[in-house]
Amino acid sequence: MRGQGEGLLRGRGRTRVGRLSVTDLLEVGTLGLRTRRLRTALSGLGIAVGIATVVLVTSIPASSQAALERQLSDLGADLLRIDPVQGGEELRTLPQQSMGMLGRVGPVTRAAVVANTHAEVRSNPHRLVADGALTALALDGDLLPMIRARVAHGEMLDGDVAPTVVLGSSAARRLGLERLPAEPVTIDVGGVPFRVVGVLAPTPLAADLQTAVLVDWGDAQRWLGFDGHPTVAYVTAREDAIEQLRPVLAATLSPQQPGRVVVSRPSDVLGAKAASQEAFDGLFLGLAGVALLVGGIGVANTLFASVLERRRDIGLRRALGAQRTSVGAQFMTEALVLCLLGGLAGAALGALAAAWWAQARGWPTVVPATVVVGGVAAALLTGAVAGIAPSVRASRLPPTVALAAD
Amino acid sequence: MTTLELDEVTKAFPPDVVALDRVGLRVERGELVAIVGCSGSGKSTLLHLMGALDTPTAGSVRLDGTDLTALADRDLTDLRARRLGFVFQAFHLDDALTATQNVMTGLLYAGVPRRLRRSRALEALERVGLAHRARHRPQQLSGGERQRVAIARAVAKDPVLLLADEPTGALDTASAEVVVGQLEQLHRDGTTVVIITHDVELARRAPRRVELRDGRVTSDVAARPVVVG
Ligand SMILES: Nc1ncnc2c1ncn2[C@@H]1O[C@H](COP(=O)(O)OP(=O)(O)OP(=O)(O)O)[C@@H](O)[C@H]1O
Ligand SMILES: [Mg+2]
Repeated sequence: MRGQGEGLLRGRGRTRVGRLSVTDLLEVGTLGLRTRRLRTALSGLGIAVGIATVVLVTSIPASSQAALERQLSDLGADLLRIDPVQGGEELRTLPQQSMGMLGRVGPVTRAAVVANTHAEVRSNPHRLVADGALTALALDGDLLPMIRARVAHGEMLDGDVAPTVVLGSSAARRLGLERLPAEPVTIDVGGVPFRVVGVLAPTPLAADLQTAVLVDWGDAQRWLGFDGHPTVAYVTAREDAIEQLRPVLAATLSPQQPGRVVVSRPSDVLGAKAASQEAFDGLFLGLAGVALLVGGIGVANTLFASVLERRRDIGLRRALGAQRTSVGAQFMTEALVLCLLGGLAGAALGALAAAWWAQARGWPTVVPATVVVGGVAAALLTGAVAGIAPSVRASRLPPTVALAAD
Repeated sequence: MTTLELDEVTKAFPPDVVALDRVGLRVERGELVAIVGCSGSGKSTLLHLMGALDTPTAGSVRLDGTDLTALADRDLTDLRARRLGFVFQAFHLDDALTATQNVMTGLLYAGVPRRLRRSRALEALERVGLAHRARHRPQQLSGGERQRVAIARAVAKDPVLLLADEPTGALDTASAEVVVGQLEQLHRDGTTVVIITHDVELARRAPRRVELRDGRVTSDVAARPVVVG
């Protein structure tokens, strides 16, 4: 007979038999799942719901953020802004001829300039204290369409002979003029009454305009004694030329020292600001955690039932030489595989639901990879925790008792 | 050579059941022993001790010269995995697995490499005359065939000792006849076999018959000279 002459315990010191390889373990550990499919599906579903919730509640804000970023960058992707670098005592400005100089640069389609007139703004001439937070900015060129500014009420500056002003959105609120009354309103800018003709909607691409009252370049020179030096310049250009254009613009406005001006793209700044906002909703993540906990309890429950039901099988395996650890590992494998399948199904489900949600709103679908990986890992962890007690129970079953079970 | 040696073996279950009372028994290699006795006489308890499924309260059990009472659970398990084959009244087959896969389960824990298991399982099925039923599942087999699959599972690893607890208990006479014939054939091929049975006919056919009553051996008769392998 095979092996008859060898010592009885020749396995001592080596890997003990009855300890299974990974392949064997996977096969044995999924046997219960394969033969009780409905139960597997139902308890896997518990886990899947938890993971799907996690994926969904993180993907929806992520997709919405992406949509917002895309919208913002689409909005002003062709816009560049040039600021003098501030430093030292004197306020630095741009050359008086900036607009013309910029307009001559090849890819530039439009150029406009803004200047701080440093004129004081008061709601009426009798008010003694100027409203320091509001600036009076002079505009030259077709700036408002370039920054996608929309007039909320009234109209744009029209180059009227009389001094007129348009209010930025915050400035209007500050002055109590969100809605223009029927009769003409004037405010006091640098001691001159300016008639308010319009109020702008918020201008995220040029936030400094929101807290300003905007006057025509010519009016500013005529009424406010302003020297004609712009403080900011804007250009629009073909989008593919934007990157090469940056150093060119700097050199154009400051040929001797291109470093004295900075060229930025307002839409980038907006996109980055939007992206940095918190993308996860704590409440929903909490709900997902509860779903996962309930799913885990379901899995533990299923496994306990399975251990009870399969006592005879456990007894047989022990009689055939399965070590306690092998029996325990069998049920732990079952728990892990069950939760892994649940986790994968849940991640897929959550991603699909997120895609459907995003599609319905015209957003790009963003399913954060870390959330998918983390979700599946959380499912596995749930399986490991849920599997401990049933596995220990199974491994401690004495073979004689297990065999006698009915 | 002695395969199995029980000396003064006592098994008590708390609080006050003495299932085996100072049992002494030797089984030589290659023997076929039938253990008979009425219900509750301690037959299954004895088989559990012989098969390293349980340990005695007192006395010693030696298998192939190794004292089982000194061993920890994992060593006893190891021993079952390598050296022992079991056949139970209720077959204990997995309904989800084919005959071959059921037999392969018997090799899984015996340290037989994966690639060898299938061929050895098929060999074992051939030995019990069920090669043609290899792909069938238990529900597709008769009771007798199921028990023969269980026998194939027990002998696939070539155990030093085959222990059968009421192997014909759930079978009709014709099926029982085939199963008994199979066990006898294994015995002729050199396997040491211990069969627990109620079946008077089966017991009469065995070369040696041990009778238990209230946990004690009351008779031990060899019908014919003991065959030593
Ligand atoms: N785990 C246990 N706990 C308590 N008593 C037990 C246990 N196992 C067996 N017994 C008792 O030990 C005695 C012998 O039982 P055993 O199962 O060995 O009998 P048996 O001869 O196999 O009977 P049967 O022919 O009915 O299978 C019986 O009185 C039984 O009730
Ligand atoms: Mg019994």
